[in-house]
Amino acid sequence: MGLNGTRESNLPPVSDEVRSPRGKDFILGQYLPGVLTTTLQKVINWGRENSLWYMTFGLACCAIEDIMAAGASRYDLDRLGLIFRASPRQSDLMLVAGTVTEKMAPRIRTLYEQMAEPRYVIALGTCAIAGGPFAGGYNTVLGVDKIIPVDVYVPGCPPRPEALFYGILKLQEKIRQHGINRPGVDPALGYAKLKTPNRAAPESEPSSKEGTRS
Amino acid sequence: MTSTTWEEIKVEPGKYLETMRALHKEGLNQLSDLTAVDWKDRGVIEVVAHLVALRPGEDPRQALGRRVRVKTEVERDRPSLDSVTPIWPGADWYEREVWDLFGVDFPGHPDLRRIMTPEGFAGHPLRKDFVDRRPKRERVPHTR
Repeated sequence: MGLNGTRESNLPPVSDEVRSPRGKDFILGQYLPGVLTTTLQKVINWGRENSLWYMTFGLACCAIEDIMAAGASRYDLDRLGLIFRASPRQSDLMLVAGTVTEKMAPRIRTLYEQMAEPRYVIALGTCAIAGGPFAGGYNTVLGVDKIIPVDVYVPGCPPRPEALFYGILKLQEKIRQHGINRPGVDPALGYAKLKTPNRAAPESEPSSKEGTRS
Repeated sequence: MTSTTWEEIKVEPGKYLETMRALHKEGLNQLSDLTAVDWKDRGVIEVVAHLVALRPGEDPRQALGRRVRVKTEVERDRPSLDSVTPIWPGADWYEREVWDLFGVDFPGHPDLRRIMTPEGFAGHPLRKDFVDRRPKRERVPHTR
């Protein structure tokens, strides 16, 4: 093949299918001219992956470094259809950004349960993944996946906004694999297996009174 | 006008509350901080309060910006100290924190509950002899 642009003629005609990086998702004019046909599953997944509304929810510094920086105009999460919502009832995505403490863990679980399915979780930063530098502490949960199922882990301390974007693209890839009746929760990380937060036994207290006064 | 040095006062636990009342009358109207130190070897817990004067007291010559640090040592076995929430309502959460992390009781506090650790937590984690009694798989291996 020479340099004279003969490749153009090897391409299929545009009217046959819409060229997209995902292949033959949408077929144009197969049955009727000017009509797009596709599967319902692909349309639903296409809608879900491009309208991941995330909950306004920050635990520590990663919320500033990532959610606020990535949501602002320089990086602009809105470009991917990610819009922040102030209520878990309206959210599809929870960005867990920061250290999860034992005190916060039940609240995170409640917020997760309040979100409507399909719901997705991104663990952002080393703290949310495994406790980070606070892992030896008395009040640190060793990763948010001990409380709720996590779809995508984005490492870093903090991750750069580009890393968060990569994680979101990975999550969109994952959503693209879903069937229409498949909820967001992976059955392998089933609901019944979710742990309650770490708790020391009160009777094993060595040197002091019980936790709350009557 | 603003002083940058801290006056330091050490008081007995019995005279703590009346000292604090007197200091409040002198114009030290802000409780900037209230915390504690565990001196395990001496068998005491030292409660430290930081006070700042943001308005003149009854004596008009009282300097604005005066800063006072009040230290009180209580017994480590049954630590107890009068609450200063009647004087400074902002002491509420500070005293809850000292109760939670050091186990110091504050009689007179309206609602002394844990604040940092979850309810049902065993022990007071900033004491030097605190042992994390969670199961090993929920802790990092190299910790106690």
